[in-house]
Amino acid sequence: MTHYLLMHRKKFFFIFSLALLLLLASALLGTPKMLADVDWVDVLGEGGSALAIAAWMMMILGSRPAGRVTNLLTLGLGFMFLAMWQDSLDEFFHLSSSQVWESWVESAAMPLGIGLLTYGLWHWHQEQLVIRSQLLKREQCFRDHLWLDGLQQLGRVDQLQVSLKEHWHDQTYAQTLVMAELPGFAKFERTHGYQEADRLLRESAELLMLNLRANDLICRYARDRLVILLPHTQPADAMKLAQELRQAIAAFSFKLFGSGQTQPQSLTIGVAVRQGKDNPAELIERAHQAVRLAAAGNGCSLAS
Amino acid sequence: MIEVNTHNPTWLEVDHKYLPLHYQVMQLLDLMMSTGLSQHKLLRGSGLFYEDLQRADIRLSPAQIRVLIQNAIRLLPNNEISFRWGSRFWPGFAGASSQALAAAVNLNEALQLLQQFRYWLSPMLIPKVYMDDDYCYIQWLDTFGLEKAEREFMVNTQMAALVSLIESAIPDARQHLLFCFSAQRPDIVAPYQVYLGDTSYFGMDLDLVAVKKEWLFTPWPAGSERLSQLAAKQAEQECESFAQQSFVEGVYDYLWNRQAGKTAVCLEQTAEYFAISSATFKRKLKKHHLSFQQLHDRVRLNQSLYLMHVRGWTNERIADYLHFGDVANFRRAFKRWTGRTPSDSRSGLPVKSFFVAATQAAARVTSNRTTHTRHKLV
Repeated sequence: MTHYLLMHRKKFFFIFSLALLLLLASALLGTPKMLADVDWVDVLGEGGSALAIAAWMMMILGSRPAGRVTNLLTLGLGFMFLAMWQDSLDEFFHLSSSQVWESWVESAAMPLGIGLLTYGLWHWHQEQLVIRSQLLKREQCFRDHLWLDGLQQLGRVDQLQVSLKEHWHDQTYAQTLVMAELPGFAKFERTHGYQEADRLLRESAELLMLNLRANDLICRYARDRLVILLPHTQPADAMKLAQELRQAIAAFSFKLFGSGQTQPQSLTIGVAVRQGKDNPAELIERAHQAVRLAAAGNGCSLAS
Repeated sequence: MIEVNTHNPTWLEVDHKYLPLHYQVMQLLDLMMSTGLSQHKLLRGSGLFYEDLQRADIRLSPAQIRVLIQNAIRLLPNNEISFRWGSRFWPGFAGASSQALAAAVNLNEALQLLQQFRYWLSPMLIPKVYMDDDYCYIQWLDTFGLEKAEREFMVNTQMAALVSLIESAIPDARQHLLFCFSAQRPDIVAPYQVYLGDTSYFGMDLDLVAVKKEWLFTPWPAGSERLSQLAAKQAEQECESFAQQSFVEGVYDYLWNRQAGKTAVCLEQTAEYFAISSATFKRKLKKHHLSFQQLHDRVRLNQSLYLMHVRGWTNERIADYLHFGDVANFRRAFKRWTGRTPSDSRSGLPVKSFFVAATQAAARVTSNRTTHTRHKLV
């Protein structure tokens, strides 16, 4: 959060200098009210609202990268904050009606802020739709960050088990399960170090995700092994998809950090087909055996 | 006439700060940080601060390492971090002892180094190595009073470390190894399959790796006898100013050897051997979450398993050797320690049946490449 806040420091500077300017203007151009004249209920209501809006602004900036949507949201909330701020300053300073700027700040800043915020939220909504479609393959119907694996930002194998159990009654939903691993990963890890190995895992997972259909579910199994649930897929289609994934990884030229040297990769895939009396664990076990056979054989195997 | 141990006046204990941070623990911290955990969370309670991670002179006590392991278990539950740590554990960064290990010429030499420098290469669970005519057994022994979850975490780490070490020399070596875990079968076996292979057995009486003896001498291509011996000499100098053994292991070994004596051993006698009062002796054990009785039971359990499975002794002979009086007493005690009878244990440990099946399966695969029979696992 602090990292993002630092990135947006110019926006903060802008909004809070305006707030300070308003305070100075009110103090210099207006006359202070007697403490007895101050309406403390108003101070609490308007001042409290101003503080709350400032807090929202901080929270939004603290969680967002720079960009148009962020600018709109900040400016919207910023103007709303300034309007409320001026409102609460009024409780302490009396300004003569000749001070036109004051009524402008009070009455124009609020609708302007609301307008910008609304426009910003509409864009934010569009942005969420895009992100949602990107996330869909990774999480399907789940949205629980505890499932996520710290390394690859995929779901963990627990997620797959839950998903399998939930749909197990549907024979065609959980019909084929794909397990994939990078042969020679352990050697890569020893030769090029663990950071590079972790990056290779992350990047190849991203690449596989791009080659999957929208409702396929990809999860991390362990180390370099991934497991992919292909809903409503015939074994022949699963094999075809497996070959496509292998081609995608074969075409992936992973560049080492520093030297920039290309490290060609390959993928070993086992496809398991559900049998009549299987339970979810047995299907996973079948996929595990399939990938072992694939590793010993030509890189792709079907276990039924 | 009571003999008094005069060779080793000082011992490593759980609160001795002797182990340099960068030897193994830094790798665990690196791993935890790479998942995005904040430093103060993963160091919480360990007495370590973020600034300490930059310093070269920091030494940790086993108790501090326990706290870090607890944090890893708590912050990353169900995670494969124990295995990931294990896969980078050896040869590691433990000074000259790591260099010696990296230059080992075969598994036999590597195991000797792991035993000799166990408190530097494998401090939290030390390896105890036994051999019979056909097999070599490596048992992981806790001498710093780990709790159950911590021990299970470390067992995963050590098993993965051993596989990773051997496979850096010989690819696919895992098919020659068999793993026994005292832990119950976990819900998710994925990391066991991927890091160790298909030969993990759970709910056993001990944590053990078994390997065929002939396989100990398969040469490791990167090994160099001269290099590893030189490095081992240097490693001896590096650790000569430290105690060579933990207090609990000292007592464990004493009790193990004392079983051969004519009478059963007792606490007072043991304390006298270590030249300390009974009260100090008890206090030292308590610091490691142990009582004399617990440790004595553990020795007798491990020894009966050894005599039973490795030496092939009968129950009568074991009962007599361990001063149980009669076989019924031995059976009752064994049941209390493990929850099963000695005869269940005899048939339960899968070592021999596994290796026979594996040899047959290998023969089948060579004779007919299209048959893919596989031993049923895990």
